Amino acid sequence: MNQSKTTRFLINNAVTILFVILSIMSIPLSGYSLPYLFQEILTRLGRNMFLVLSLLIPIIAGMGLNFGIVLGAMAGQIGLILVSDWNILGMQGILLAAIIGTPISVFLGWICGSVMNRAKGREMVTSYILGFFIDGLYQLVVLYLMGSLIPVLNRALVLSRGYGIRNAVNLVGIRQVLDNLLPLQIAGVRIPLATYLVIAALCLFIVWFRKTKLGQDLRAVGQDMGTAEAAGIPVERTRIIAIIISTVLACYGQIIFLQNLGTLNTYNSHTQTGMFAIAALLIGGASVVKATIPNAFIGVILFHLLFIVSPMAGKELVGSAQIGEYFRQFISFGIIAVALVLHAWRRRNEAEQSRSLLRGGGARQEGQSRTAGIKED
Amino acid sequence: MLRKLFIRILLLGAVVAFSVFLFSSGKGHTLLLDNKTATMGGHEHAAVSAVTVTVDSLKPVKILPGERDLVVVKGVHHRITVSGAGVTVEKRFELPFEDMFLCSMPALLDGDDAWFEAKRPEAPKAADDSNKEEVPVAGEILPL
Repeated sequence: MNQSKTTRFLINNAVTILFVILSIMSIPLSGYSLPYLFQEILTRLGRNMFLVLSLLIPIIAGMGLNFGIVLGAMAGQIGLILVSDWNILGMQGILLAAIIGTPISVFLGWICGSVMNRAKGREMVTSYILGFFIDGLYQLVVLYLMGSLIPVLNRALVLSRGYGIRNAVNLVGIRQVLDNLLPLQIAGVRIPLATYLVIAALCLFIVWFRKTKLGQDLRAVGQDMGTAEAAGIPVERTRIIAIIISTVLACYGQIIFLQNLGTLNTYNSHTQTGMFAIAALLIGGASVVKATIPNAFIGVILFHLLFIVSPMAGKELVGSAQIGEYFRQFISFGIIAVALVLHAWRRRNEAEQSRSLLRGGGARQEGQSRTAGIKED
Repeated sequence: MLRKLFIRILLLGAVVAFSVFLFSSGKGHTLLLDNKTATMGGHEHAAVSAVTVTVDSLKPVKILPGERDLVVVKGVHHRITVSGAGVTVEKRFELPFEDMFLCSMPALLDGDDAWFEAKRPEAPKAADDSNKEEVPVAGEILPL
């Protein structure tokens, strides 16, 4: 009994355990001091946590990992470009970017949710491809319409041809504004307190949201759409709301992410947002069907710990720091692949178990002996 | 139904009002603090000896004759204090929408009301390879 519990724990947390082992092995190889690593982890936790948490609500609704958070990220970036153009500084700039991004992300979330309702059971791949499609529209707006149809007053933002936004937008006016809003330093470690308070507020919102009528509806839809429909829950509407909330949160998450970095890569920053956030969540022990706030925290810490130490560890082992850069790409895509394979494997096992339960133990044994008999023959 | 619509319109109005407030209170302005002989509002004002300028609660800046310094301020309402040539002048002023203003310290000390004027920021300096079109790039490895 105990052995089966241990085995189940190991199988369920295989990815997390693997990352813990890799991190423990890499830390001494990297040569980084523990205070440095602690500071880096605190900074990256504040930078990425909001984006990772934005993935939780669609998982509750049974829609899997929402690769469509890149849509929200694009909305946030449009807000930041406009705020930079208008030269709005400080917290006002961040709040205004969020206000501009909100209706755009609601609209994009509605599109994403509506498309997903037409592709039930294949939400993840649909949202992934939809991300590419909306990226094309984003490029049309930012590369051709901004500076021509949409007025851009700041010439420093515009490409030399007279329209389209440059590759890099300097967010100097809002750089680390949220992080430095409530400065706190303990034993030489700088803590971005305001960012953590925002993250804590989001965690409380998620906990509260799950207890609301809508949250309960989402869980019911996530467990069984047919039963939820029969119970009078508007399944499709509920699923769209879940995606809209996720997209809006991703919009805010991207603004928090970019205010920390201080530079917006106009055509790149959003592209792998979904991939890295999903990889971090999965590393924390989440699955396609179940994810919690602790999963997000553990995942971000482990994922970024390995990101920090892998270039130096790679340099020590192979003589090239570049290996760490490749390693993180490999980790991100590899971990998502492993999670999807594990998910498929678990679902098949569960289906087999439920089938055998339906048939009954006796029937199963009989079936087994019959099979054995055939083999013997 | 009508009540719901009313509440929605009210909320939308509140968001728009809040956005306008954020825009006006967060708008950044660059003030070029100038201590050069300048003609402002049709009057010529000669450069004065070294002046110390304090804008809002920012760090005071000392500007020698013929020199210029800049400060970045946020919002519409500001206060400037100029000390030099044996006098101290304090003035409250409001900035319009423009990004950059040329503020003449001699004109301010002379009591000229037209002591600042909007200035269009210069376009980014052309680099040697300015004829080359910047190509938007995608698919780079991102900083995390």
